[in-house]
Amino acid sequence: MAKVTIAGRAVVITSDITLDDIKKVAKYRPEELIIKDKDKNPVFAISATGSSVNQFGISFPEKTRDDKGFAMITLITDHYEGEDFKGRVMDKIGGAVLKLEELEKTLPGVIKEIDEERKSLEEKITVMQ
Amino acid sequence: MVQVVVGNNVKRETAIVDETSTLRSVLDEYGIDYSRGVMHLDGASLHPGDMDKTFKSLGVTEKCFLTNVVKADNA
Repeated sequence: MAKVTIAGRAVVITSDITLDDIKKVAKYRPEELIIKDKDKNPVFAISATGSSVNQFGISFPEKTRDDKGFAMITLITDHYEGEDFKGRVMDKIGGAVLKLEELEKTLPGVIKEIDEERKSLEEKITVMQ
Repeated sequence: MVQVVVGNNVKRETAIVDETSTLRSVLDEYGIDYSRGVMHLDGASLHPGDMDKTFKSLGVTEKCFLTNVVKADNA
């Protein structure tokens, strides 16, 4: 599940999908990064290029600095003097985070299929010296 | 991400693309012929060189209309 961490005015959204895996899916099965409505119109997507969060998607520009490399984006919010900063952040990005979590449920299966297909293809390749 | 309504006189589709995508890449992906007619972004005509600019560089942050308009001459 995605995590949202607030430190001062910085809001960090961390996915539990790695940045490299998002790039892999974008290369082999880009349609799996998109959520569509019942009429098959795209309503939300994620990517590993760019840097933005809005109602239409999240573009992750970086990964966590640990050995896992989860996709991550840092936002700097406007100055806010009110008390419910968490509520304000939820209003701004909550919808996008919920949609991200929908994709996080399906992407592990897609990534596993891609890895198996690549492995199967790799076994068919012979390198002649 | 940017929601783009991309199309021409006869068809329109909705796409969600990365803001670092170029206009040309989206038009190519959706099979829009931009060799004829005039390309418009949110109703404004585009100029030579704009096609290889990204949505971000053109100031599009959330959504836009990217359309090719061919004006047919009447007899």
